[in-house]
Amino acid sequence: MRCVLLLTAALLLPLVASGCGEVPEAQYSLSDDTLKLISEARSGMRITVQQADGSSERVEIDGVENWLFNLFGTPESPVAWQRLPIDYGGVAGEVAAVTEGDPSSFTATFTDPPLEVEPGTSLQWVTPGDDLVVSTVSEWDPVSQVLSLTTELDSPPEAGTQFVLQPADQLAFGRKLYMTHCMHCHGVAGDGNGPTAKYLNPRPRDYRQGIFKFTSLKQKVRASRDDLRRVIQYGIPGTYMPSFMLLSEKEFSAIVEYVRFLSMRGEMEKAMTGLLAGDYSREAVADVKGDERNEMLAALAEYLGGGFREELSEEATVLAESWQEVEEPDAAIQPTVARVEDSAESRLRGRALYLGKKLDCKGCHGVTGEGNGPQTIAYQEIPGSQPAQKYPAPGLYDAWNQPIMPRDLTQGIYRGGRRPLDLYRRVHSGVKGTPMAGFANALTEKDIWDVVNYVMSIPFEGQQPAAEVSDSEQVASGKTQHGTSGSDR
Amino acid sequence: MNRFWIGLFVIWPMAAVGSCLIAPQMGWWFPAGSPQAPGQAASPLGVQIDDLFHLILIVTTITFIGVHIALGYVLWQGVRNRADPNYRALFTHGSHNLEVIWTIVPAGVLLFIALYQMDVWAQFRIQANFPEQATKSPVAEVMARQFEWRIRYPAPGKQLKLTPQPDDLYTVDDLHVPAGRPVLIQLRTMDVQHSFFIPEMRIKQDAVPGLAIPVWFEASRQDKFDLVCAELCGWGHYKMNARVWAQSDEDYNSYLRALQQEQFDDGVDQEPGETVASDE
Repeated sequence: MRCVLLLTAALLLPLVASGCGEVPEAQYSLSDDTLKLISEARSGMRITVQQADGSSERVEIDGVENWLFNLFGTPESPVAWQRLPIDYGGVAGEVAAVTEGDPSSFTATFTDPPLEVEPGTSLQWVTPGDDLVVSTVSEWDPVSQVLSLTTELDSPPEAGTQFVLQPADQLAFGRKLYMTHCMHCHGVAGDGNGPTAKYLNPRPRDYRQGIFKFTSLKQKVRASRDDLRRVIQYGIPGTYMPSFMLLSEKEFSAIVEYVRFLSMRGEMEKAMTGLLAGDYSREAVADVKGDERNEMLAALAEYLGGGFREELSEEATVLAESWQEVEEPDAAIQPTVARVEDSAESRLRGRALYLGKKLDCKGCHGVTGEGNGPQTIAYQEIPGSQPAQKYPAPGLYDAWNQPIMPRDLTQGIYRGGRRPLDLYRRVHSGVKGTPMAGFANALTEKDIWDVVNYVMSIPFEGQQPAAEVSDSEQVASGKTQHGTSGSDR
Repeated sequence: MNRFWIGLFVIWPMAAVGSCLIAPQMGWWFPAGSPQAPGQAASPLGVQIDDLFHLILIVTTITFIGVHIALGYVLWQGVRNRADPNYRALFTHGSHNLEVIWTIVPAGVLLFIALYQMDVWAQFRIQANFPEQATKSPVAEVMARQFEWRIRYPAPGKQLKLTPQPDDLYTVDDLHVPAGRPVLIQLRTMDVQHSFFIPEMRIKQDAVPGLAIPVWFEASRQDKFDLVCAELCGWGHYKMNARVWAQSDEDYNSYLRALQQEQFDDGVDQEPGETVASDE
């Protein structure tokens, strides 16, 4: 008996002691295009520089991977790069006056002063350039408003210099939620390639192109915070994206900011790789050998240390602008004409447009709206391919090179929302990243409403418009079941 | 060693009874309930279901304690008898009378439970016994899907139909029902099996692909309740939760009207262009 007990204990003890093991640290993976770069462009290099006095010095040159690390950090410790329009969280403050004779402390003013600041809290200086200057707080006295740092600064801060305490605390919260709810489909880096992604069709969104399908904004404009939040809150019917209705306001905002962060990170990676891919991909330099290779590397080192840096800064400005644009009022698609009354005439006009040459809806969605138009079995050209090439298999493709089917409009499932306003926006500016084009230029607002009325009637073909039914209903003797025919059995 | 086993057999029933006694105070008992009546079911049928549970709990507790007392007694006797070197074990070939008794008594208990619960079961599950108030106008269709609850209401004043109608109203993970009277939903699933579970009302019904299953319940107070999936439906099962809002008729109607307004929104501030027949 004792023997059995001992044996059981001996078997169980290691299990208990080891627990579930260490959780591996999450890491942002690099994009396929970045992986095609030569390792020096991707991960940087060390070069020896001759100084004027004859001595030599080893200098590290940053590659794409290092830049991404510097500007965005790792999932465990994200960096708040203030150049980008992301609400990282944190408490913003300003230097009021530097303490005489102590370059590591100063009086600070806050718009919303914190009562307590834990020693060790990080403090990030708002700098105009891309360099991140982070200090650590050693003490905060809320009465005298003196903030002390653990280390001396190179030069004492000037009065009026701005900083952020606890930078990226909202982002860190968003990351935590993202890792719980979103990561298993959308991936750690937002590349739409999490562990469950391969079982899904349609595939989860890859944020790294900055393209989001269902937005309230005009063509080429990314997605507003509200658009992202709507998708998270209500899900996307007809896909695997479920609703996260029960999250709190705070949680929604944090996740939305983190998705924006991942999207901008992906776009920066794409931009950086784009700058280098032409000359420094493995394919481009496959035949460069010997001295030529050394020359090529020297040119790369010079570019990475100089021109690349400037171009990167420009790219960041463009990116920041394009993400600021999303909150501007005129980026939104806002109908000015009220919805045309949903009458039989309006539907007929909409149907004529649907079948007409100008819009050619039927080309993809089919004459009956079942999403089986001739384009779905035609060979399509790869956009941007020089010389023009066609996809190897027939059918339509999206911006992520995935096969895609036009919506079956008879189902009455609308991924971007079922309000007339949502459908108006789809007809107006299309579905971003897909062959669904916008027809804002080809149609008047009234025309768009006619198309919307027709599209909304497709699942109920044979039923009369509501307004006309209610007229005839008054004639019918109080029966609640109104006259349905055709599709409703 | 023998006394160890006797102790073990005595400790378990004592621990079980003790934990049952302190459970209501510790909040280990039934799902929350209102502050006035913690642990009380939030629907009249739920209260009856709880009564059935209590009845069965009492029967099983008596049996459980009795069996353990008997077991303890037999073991105790065995240990005592062993101490006597002259004691000889008694050989018995069984007792016909005893066997009849321990067959008939549990059978009687089971038969009693089976008959006693029929009424509640019939109310809950047999469609002919559903309250007429609930069946005459179902409030919504609840469509389960990996991993959310999609809800379709008929337009205010209209009847719910099995097929979608142009003026239907849609929400997700957010079911509103009037409180204080029986309501009926049509439960369906788009993919795999799910289970519609409102713990506080003791309502649980599987959603089966291809079927529209009517489920009725009555919220006895105006409150917000959890709706969860109670059938392992895939990797995201844990996140398949929603809210049920039991509201006064007034709030419920104004909710539906607001939903209608929102759903037929054309984004133009002036007079909405869509006019949906609402004949309340």
